[in-house]
Formats: sequence, C-alpha cells, structure tokens
Amino acid sequence: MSIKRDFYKRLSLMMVVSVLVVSVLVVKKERDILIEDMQNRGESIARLLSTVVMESVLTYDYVTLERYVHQIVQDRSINSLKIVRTDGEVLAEAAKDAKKGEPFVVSYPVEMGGETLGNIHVSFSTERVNAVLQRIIISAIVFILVIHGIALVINNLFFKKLVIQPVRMLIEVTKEFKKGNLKNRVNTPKNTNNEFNQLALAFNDMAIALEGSFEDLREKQKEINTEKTKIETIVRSLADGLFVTNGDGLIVSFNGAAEFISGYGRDEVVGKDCEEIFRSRFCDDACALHNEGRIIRNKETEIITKDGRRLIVSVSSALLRDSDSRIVGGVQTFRDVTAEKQRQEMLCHAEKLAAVGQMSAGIAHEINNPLGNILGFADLLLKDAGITDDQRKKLKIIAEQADKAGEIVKGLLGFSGQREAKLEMASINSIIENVAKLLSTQAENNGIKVAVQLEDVPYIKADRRQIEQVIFNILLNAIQSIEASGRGGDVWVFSRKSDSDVEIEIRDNGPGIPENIKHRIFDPFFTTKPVGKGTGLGLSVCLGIVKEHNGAIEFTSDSEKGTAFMVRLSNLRNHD
Amino acid sequence: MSHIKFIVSIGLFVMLSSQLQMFSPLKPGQLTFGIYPYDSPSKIHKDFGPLIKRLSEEAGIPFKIVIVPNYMSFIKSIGEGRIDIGFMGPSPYVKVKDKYGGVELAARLLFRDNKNDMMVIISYTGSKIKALGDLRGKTFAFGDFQSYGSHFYPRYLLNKAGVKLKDLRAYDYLSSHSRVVLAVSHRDFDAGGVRMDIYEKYKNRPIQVIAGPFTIPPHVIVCRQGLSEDIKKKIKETLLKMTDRDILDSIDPDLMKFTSVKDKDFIDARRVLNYIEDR
Repeated sequence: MSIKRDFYKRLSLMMVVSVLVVSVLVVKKERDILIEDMQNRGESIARLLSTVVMESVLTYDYVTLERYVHQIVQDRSINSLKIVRTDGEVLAEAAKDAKKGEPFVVSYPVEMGGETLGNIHVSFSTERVNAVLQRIIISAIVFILVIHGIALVINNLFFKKLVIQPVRMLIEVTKEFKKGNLKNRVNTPKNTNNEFNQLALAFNDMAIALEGSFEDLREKQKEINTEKTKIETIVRSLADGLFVTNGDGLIVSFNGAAEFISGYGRDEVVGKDCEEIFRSRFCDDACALHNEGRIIRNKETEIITKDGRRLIVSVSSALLRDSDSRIVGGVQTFRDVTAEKQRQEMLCHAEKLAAVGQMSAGIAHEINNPLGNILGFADLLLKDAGITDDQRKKLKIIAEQADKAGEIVKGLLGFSGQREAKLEMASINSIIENVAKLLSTQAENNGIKVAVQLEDVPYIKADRRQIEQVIFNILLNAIQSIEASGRGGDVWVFSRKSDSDVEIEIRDNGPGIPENIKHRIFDPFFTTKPVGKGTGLGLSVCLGIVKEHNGAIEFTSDSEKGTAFMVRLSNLRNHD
Repeated sequence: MSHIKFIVSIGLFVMLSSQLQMFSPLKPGQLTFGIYPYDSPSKIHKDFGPLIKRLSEEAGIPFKIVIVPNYMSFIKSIGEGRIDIGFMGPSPYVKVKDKYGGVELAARLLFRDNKNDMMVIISYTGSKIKALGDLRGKTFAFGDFQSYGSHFYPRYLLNKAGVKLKDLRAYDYLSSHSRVVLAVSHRDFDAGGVRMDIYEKYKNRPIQVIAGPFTIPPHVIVCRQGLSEDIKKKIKETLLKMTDRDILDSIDPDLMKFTSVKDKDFIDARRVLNYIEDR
C-alpha cells in the first residue's frame, strides 16, 4: 500500500471514529436537553392546567376541563393527558394513538390550600426527540463528510506537493542509480527545510559518497579484470591440464590442455564431480579436497579419457582458500606422462632384452655344439641294427628332443640377432597369403574364420622366412587364444601402405590379453600356454625380427574387443 | 409550553369575544341570529355557520351570530328585539312568548328517534338509587335554571315523586346538560336531569338512567315579532325546505329536517313551568 493510500486510510478511519464519538456525545447531550425541555413543558402544562382543574372541580365544569385536555393533546408531541383525582377518579383523559418511541411521562400535583386534589399526568412522545436526534446524526455525518471531503482535497494537494512529489523524485533518482547513472541528484528547494527536504539532502550526500566509491570500485574492477585476463591467459597457455573445483568438489574451471588430455569439452565437465569425469582413482589420489593436509606434487595416477583410453598422469594440487582462510575449493594441474612411461618401459625392456640376448647368444653357442654331438651320436646309434626296439624308441626321443632344443637355440640366436637375415625383395601380401593358407586348416577345424584383406603394398627388402615367422607366430597366437576361449571367433589380416612403410595388422575378437601380463608378453620364455605347448619365445623372437628390419610392433587388447597386433616394416631399400 | 399557552389563550379569546359579540355594532341592514350557549362558542359557530350562511343567502340579508351568555340574557335579548332570529329550547320560548309576546315560531328541529325531544334522570354507575323517590336526602345536579330539560322538567318529576328541593341534601345549577352528566359521572352529585341526546353522547361514561326517558317539547327557531313578513317568510320557507345534509349534519348528524311547529305544542311545557315557578 502506498504512503498516500495508507495516510488517507488512517485519516478516514480517524474521521469515522471522530464522527462516531462526536455524534454519540452530541446525541447524548441533545437528548438530555430535549428530555429536560420535555420535562419543563410537561410541568408548565400541568401547572397551567392545575388552575383549570381547580376551577372545574369547584364549579363542576368538567366539560371545560375535558375540552382543554383534548385541545392540549392535539399537540403532536403529547401522547396522552390524564387528570386523576386523589381518590383515583379520572376527571379527564385524552389520548392519541401511541407513537413510536418510549413515552416520557411528567406528573404534577394539583394542590389547593396545601391539599392535594389530584395529579396531572402528561405523556410525551419521544418520537420527536428521536427524529431530532436522527436529524442531528445525519447532519453531523453529512457535515463531517463534507468537511472530510474538503480536507481530503486540500490534504491531497499538500500531500502531493510535500510528500508524493519528493518521494517520487527520490524513487526516480534511485532507479537512475540502479541503471548506473550516479550523477543524478534530487532537487532540493532552498526555502524549505522539512523532513523530506532533509532526506533529499542526505540522499544527495549519500549519492556523492556512492559515486566516489563506485569510481574506486571501477578502478579496482579494472585491475582485477587485468589480473584475471593475465591468469586466464596463463591458464589457457599452460601445457598441463588444469581444473578448479569448488568447495563441493564440482568442477568450475577446465583449461584447454585439460580438454586436450581428457577429450572432454569444458561444457561437459563444468558442474560435475571429477570422479564422475575421470572414472579412476584420480580424485582419491591427487585431488586437493580429497587429500586435505597432504602435499600433492607430481603424484602419478590414472585417468580414463572420454574415448576410454587409460592415461597415466602426473598431478599437483592445492587447496583454494578465501580471505578468511576457509576452504573454497581446489586447483589441480596434471600432465599426460603415458608416453613417457611407455618409453621408459620400452627402454627398460630393450635393455633387458639386450642383456637376455647377449646371455642367450652365449648360451646358444655353448649349447649348440653339445646338441650337435648328441644329435649326431643319436643318429649314429639309430643306424645301428643291433639296438633293441626299446632302445631305438628312446634314441628317437633323444633325437627329437635334441632337435627341439636345437630349434630353441635357433630361436635364441634369432632373438639375439645372432642369426644373419637374408634380405631380398619380398611381397608382404604373398607372405601373408602363404601363412594364412598354412594355418587355415587349423583355424577351420576350430570353427575360426581367417579373413585376409590386402591392399596393394610395395615390395620391401626383407628376410622372407623371418617375416613369415613373425606373421605365423602372431596369427597362430590369435587362433590359439580363440581356441582356448572355446567361444569361437574370427581373425582378420590386413596389409596397408603407410607413407613409406607397410603395415600388417592381425586382429582377432578373442578374449584379449589380461591387463596384468600385457607388459610381459614380449619377454623371452614368458608364456601362458600349458607346459610343453609353448617355449615362450614366439613374440620375443618376432620382436627381435621386426627390430632387425628396423620396424616396430605394437598391440592393443581389450577383453571385449579382442586383440590387434600392428607390425610396421620400413622399406629397407631406402636404407641401403 | 408555548403551544398550550397559545391554545388556552385562543380558547379564552374566542369565548370572550363571542360573549361580547352581542355588544358589537351591527352593520346596516344586518340581522342577528341568537343562539343559547348549549356548547362552546366555537362549536356553536361551527354547527350553525352553514345554516346562517344559507339563510343569509336566501333572505338576501347579512346575518350575524350572537351567542348569549345565558338563558336569561337570551330571553331578554330576543324579547326586547335585540335578536332578530333565535334558536332556543322550549323553556326560553315559553318565557319570551309569555312575558314579551314578541316572537313567532319559524320551525322546529326534528331529530332521528326524537332523542332531542326526550330527557332522562341519571345517576352514576353503581349507585343504589333505583327510582326518583330514592333521591330524598341525596344530591342533585340541574343544568341552567331556565333549561326545560335539565331543570324545570326534572324538578317537576322530583316533585311528582314527592321529592322537593328541601328534601335534597344538596343541589346546584351547573348551567349545561353536559356539565350535569360529567358531574354525576364523577360522583359530585348523586343524580341529575339531562336531555336524551346529551345522555347518548356520554353514555360510555359511568352513568345509568334511573328514570325516563320522558318526552319534552322540541327546540325551535323563532323570529322577532317586528321582523318584516317577507324575511320571516323567506326564513321559514328556507328552513322547511332544507334538505342539504351538509347543513343539517353540521348542526347534528341526527337532525333529519325542520318542520312546522305551533304554540299549542308547548302547552305541557307552559304548564310545567308554571307548576315549578308557583312553588
């Protein structure tokens, strides 16, 4: 409710109450006056009539008495008049129809010589009194309403000038303030010093102070914006990923490097919990809020990228506090160290392989001669007709095992690069087709389909037999893994041209390589096959051959998608 | 209070002025119509105003109402010719006729049931008086001394019943029939004699009839002997032909008409008057 309406509501209420109070008081007073007047009139009539009564009684002239009584009762304010003798005899009586209102009776004695002859009873109608009071009330109400109306008009003019206009001006200036127009001021009449003018002056003082404060704030804001821009630029240009969480652990900021590393856009992560995004132990290991009180510096942990890749990241984090040292969030920076870790592992692996190779070559040379002797003498004894069948049978086992050991030695020599490659121009597609054909029977027997999809790839300089061995080993592993799963499956062999290289991909939809052995599959003598089924040299020999050909071998494996080996062979002609 | 003063003052003024009317100068050619004070002057004016107006129109002469203060004055005024036409009861007529001989009967008033031509003796309700003879030692109220119905004839009846004035414990002349009725009703007197129509008027009061009704001679309108024959004739004809109910009702709703009347109709009245006045 506006001040104006509230003011007039209260004023009207006050007027109504005052009308009621004044009306009640006036009516009560006027009623007292009218009743007193009625009492006086009654007594006057009775006093005058008492003389007539005395004369009438003395002269037995009741006719005249009755005539007077009837004439007096003609007065509209008198209801009835009765003259009663002391013995109760009614000497004269006249009455009209009773009027509205309670009758007012005045009694007066008729006395003569100290003796009471009777009483005169005059009954007045209070209808006139009520009518007069009613007129007074109506007049009072009309009068006060008119005065109230005039007062309203006059007050309205003054109220508008003294209250409404200054308040509206204040409101307008305040609205301008809200829009940012701090130069506006309230007009203050010079010849007025009422409360509203004082308020306007105080408002203007406040406006001046506010304007100054706003100027300071603007300067501060500029400085803050400059610093903010600097920080944003720094954050944006950081090579490391950075994200900030609020006190609830929800991401509020996510820089470009973080987007690049995680694969998530900023809009996808803001407002979400980092655990929900990274789906790993990242938060438990390295987030500031999760490790309150601990110093996190280059802590290695994992994240899973949007496309499902598992990356190793190095994280540093710190808590964010406000000016009151209350924790308001955390800031985390992280760097993808997956490749670095892989390089380190490969380097370590290479060094390990080199050591194993040297050792293997030494062992192979030392074992090769005794094996040759064993095999030679076993062959000689087999040619001897004097041996028993049992001895022959055992000699054959000796020869076979010696052959097998020889193959192992060959493998070792191959792995250690001790065996010299016979390079020639070879067709990779031809090698693939031969190997696939060689293993197709075994595959088909186990319900496995081997699909070969070959592009037109160039001849490369390679040891045809060694490349066959590489493709054979990998393809055989794929078939055997599907066999072992017992679920059946398919194998695909692709050849592709990539720049100057030739790529060979052997993919299966088998059970995949368990995560915990992925880093050991190229280790010599590591096998998951039953004892006697594998030497554990297959993939390590393949790795040695491919390296011999300045190539590379990689793999990806997933328990659902299966395993894919990628062999890249360089065209050795370019290296001649 | 001012209202009452005003009413009383007006009443007194009307009464006084009516008493003085007979002494106010007459306009040239104006006739006087005298009426005995059977009621208040204003009432008398109201009752007879329309009739006087009609008579004035028919006679072609202006009339003036004169209300005399009492019966005796009326008898003297009409007997001495100061009143030209008069409305009176049987007693004044007999008195004027016998003492002055100068009046001529114009017409009598004929009322419904002849109630104005009868009188009764009344007492108050609850009185033990059952007959006129029971009035011995009691009080009695008469009207005017010259009234036939409320004095001469009641007194005649009392005498016939063996009750003389001296046998009464007290008596008084209250000047009008109405006063007699009200005085008896208020038990100021044990009994009184009044005309029948007056009794009828107050019969709701605590009164009862103990004797009567008795027939009495009628009220009449008379003309002064010296009045011109033409006027007397016009007045008589006008009265006898009067059928205007407004005029008749104004005098009395029970007044049926005016009829001719003879002096011999007052033989009994004359006998009663003589009987009383001889004692």
